[in-house]
Amino acid sequence: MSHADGGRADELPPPLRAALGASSLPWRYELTSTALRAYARAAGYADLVYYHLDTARAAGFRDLPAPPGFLGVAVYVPGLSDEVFSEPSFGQPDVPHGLPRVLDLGTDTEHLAQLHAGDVLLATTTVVDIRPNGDGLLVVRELVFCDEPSGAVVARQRRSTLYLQALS
Amino acid sequence: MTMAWDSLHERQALPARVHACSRLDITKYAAASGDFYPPHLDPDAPETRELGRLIVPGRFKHACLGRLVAEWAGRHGFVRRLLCRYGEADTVGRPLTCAGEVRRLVVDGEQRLVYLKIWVANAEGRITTLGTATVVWTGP
Repeated sequence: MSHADGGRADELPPPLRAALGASSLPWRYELTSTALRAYARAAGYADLVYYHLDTARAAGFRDLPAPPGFLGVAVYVPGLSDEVFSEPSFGQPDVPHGLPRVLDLGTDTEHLAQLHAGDVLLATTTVVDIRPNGDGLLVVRELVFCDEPSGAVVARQRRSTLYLQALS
Repeated sequence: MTMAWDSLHERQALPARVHACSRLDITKYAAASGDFYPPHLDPDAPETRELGRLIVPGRFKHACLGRLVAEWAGRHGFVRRLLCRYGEADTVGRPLTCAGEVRRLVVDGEQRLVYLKIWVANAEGRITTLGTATVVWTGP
């Protein structure tokens, strides 16, 4: 799957080609009830099932259900997390593009199970595509989210990011 | 929502949702997601000056389209897949409309699947984000 048309991966310089297929260390993502409510609030949900535990249980959920696209929040650790995006910076595959600006081109989330408040996930990131795109570089990363206690894969998310010299 | 599988049909429209996309809305999303990229929040940041405007985070639109689908399906469906392509950056402070329609209904063994086309249109009516969603139908 590709989110944008672009050049070919075999046109890349060796350091970038070497990043293809590289994977991260696993990182913990927590679905706290507070974070889940904040996400539902930001998206404008009015259904109390996302906010009120008794309502969620009455609807058949074991806890507050995660809205589609919400996969928890990466645990923040000073020095190991990115200060802008709050995602892990430690243990991530290096894509040495040298381009300072970022544009989000696409998100593809696949839910394999209903997630709930209280769930803890471990995510591993793999660089699945790198290709020239206009004046920039398109990088596609796939995050695989596993339920921490069981190890079962519960979600996948592909993120397509365009790196650029300038946004204008 | 009291839909049943038999009442669904191709080209059926989902009720549209309008998001003001105010700076407060984007701030709430930043707090929820941890995305503090300056072009979404800080008018004085160098990146924002390059653009000349604050832009709406792509994944905020992903979240809003997720809401569109989840509220349409109600208790009758599980949103299995949500795909968005952000074709154009939207401006903070300009309202966006999330909309969609049923594209295909598929019975695969015991599973009933609804394939949706979803999109975000700006105040001029131009589609700036296009996507698809798959709902596993669990209701009657």
